Amino acid sequence: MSLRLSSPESNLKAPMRALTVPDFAARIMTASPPKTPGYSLKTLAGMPTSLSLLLLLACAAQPVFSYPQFQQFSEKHSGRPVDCAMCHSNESGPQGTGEGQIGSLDAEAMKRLNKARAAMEPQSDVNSPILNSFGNEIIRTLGKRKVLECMANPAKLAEFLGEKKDLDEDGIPDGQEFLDGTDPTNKFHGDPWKLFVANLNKYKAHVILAVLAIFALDFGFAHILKGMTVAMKTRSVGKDLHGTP
Amino acid sequence: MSISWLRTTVESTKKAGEDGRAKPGKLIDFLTERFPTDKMNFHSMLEKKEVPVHSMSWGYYTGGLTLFFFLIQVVTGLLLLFYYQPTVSDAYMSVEYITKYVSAGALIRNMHAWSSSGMILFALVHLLTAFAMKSFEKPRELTWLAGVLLLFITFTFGFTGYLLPWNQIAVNATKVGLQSMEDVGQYLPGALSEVPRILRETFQGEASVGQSTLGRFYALHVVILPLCLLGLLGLHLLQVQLHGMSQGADERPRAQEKFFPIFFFKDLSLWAGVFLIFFVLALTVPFESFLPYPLLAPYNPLGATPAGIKPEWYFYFVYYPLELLPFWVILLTSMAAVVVLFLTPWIFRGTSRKTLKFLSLIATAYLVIMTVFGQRIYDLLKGGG
Repeated sequence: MSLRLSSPESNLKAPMRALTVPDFAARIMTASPPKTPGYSLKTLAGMPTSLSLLLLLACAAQPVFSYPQFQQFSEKHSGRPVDCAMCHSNESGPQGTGEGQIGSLDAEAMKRLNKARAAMEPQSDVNSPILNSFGNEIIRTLGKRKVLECMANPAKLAEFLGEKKDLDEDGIPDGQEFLDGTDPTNKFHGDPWKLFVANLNKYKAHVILAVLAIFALDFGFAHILKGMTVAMKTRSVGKDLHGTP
Repeated sequence: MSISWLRTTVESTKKAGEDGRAKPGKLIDFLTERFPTDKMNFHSMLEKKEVPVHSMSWGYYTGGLTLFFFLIQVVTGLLLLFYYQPTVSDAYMSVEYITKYVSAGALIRNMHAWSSSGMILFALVHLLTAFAMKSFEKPRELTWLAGVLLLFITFTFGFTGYLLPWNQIAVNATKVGLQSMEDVGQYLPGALSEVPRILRETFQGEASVGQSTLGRFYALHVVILPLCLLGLLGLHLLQVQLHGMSQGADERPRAQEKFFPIFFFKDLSLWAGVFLIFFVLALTVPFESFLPYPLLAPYNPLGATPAGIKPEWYFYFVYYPLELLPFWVILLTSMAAVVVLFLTPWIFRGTSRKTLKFLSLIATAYLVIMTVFGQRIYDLLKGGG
């Protein structure tokens, strides 16, 4: 009997799921860059029905993929399961109608999404609703063009992010967290050894105080016990002298 | 009324024994030997008590350390109770709140997690050393039995506490655990085969792991199990103080040291050192950092089960064999192991300490190999990884 509920492969497949037909049709119509997640059906409004139907039919036959290269690389490099939540708002990726997915976006959020998609160069003001703080930081720091370049060699992403970016301020650079397959937005998650070294350095004053307090307590206890022993002996000697049982 | 009845019974049995008409019952003999009332005083239990000094003396400290970890669990657990919400809608958020917004919340939660592992580790080490030292010998059978029950309660603490953060790994691992419990039923005869299902339903409380399960696990974790543990711990410690430390080794002790204050002070100093180590660990290494982050996301009843669901490390010695061998093999082996554990004082009554040490080393090797290399063994045999 196997107690495993799912295999690691099942997780890998999740982000490679084909876009929904309306998503893909809408994406083509708005002329977004290739291999980017699609738009909602809302953008189809106003298009000629025949054109829409043609596009829908054409797209239905072609599965379109998200960016699984980064996830697969991180997973392989670290040996840890990694999901889309490393960069995306939703752990299942940008497609769908759940929270932080394209299907649930309103007009204002779509505007922000389009702005993020157009941010080909670094240092743009990006706040994509389908990305989390790490995903947005990547686009902000590198620009979309560089991210697309990294797809062939995802290890470059860590290199481009550098040693200084540390969103969660846990002492481990974001690029390193990408390589380690840990959460770059959670300061309580990281490679245990690296966290140990970083936090020991950060909390050295606390550790020194704890050492001093424990030694002081131990010293105090030793003297209390010594005093109690002396008191017990004195009492027993007194009893012997007075002949009491 | 019941006390007077008991007193009358004991007195009449004693009187009958004195008259030569009948001998006191074996049970009363057994209990009198295990609970010697003449030793139930401060002088015998503390002042007079001595601890032998020999090559296995370190084994005497393992029980104290387990108790120390339990005390940390009580203190940190009580502090966590101030904020934790045992409802499926709020449990995850309350844990997040403790970790991210409560002063020293992350430290307290981390201490609780680290010391739960410490408690189980030292409970196991204590059991193995007590076995190797033959500390279950007459009149210490009750000490052993209470200790074995305490170990099971400690494991149950781990199982029930695992669900409380209500994240992906918590709920999915609990589902697997409860399912395994029900699976035992198919190997039991007749009406007994229904017992595991009833037990599962009782713990689960509804069709799937949900609010009722969380409520019940919470009640078990913070009220029922601590009460059981306190009762058994009282019995265990009373027995240890009444009968003193066991001989522990075949060699002649190098010396005898006073339990109070010498051994007691050494014990406290060791607690202080261990506290320091665990404090630094809790401060620097979040316990959850050992798990993949997708497993720490809030539980999603509609989503797919994420990969890598496993129980806590202290269940690996059962988990990996379960993955590799047929269920009935593990069931039979586990049942045999439990029976042997409970009957140890009688099964190994005449066994030498040398043999017991050897058996204890084999058990230790098995536990270490399965805990540390279990995943590699699994990958090797199943062709994964």
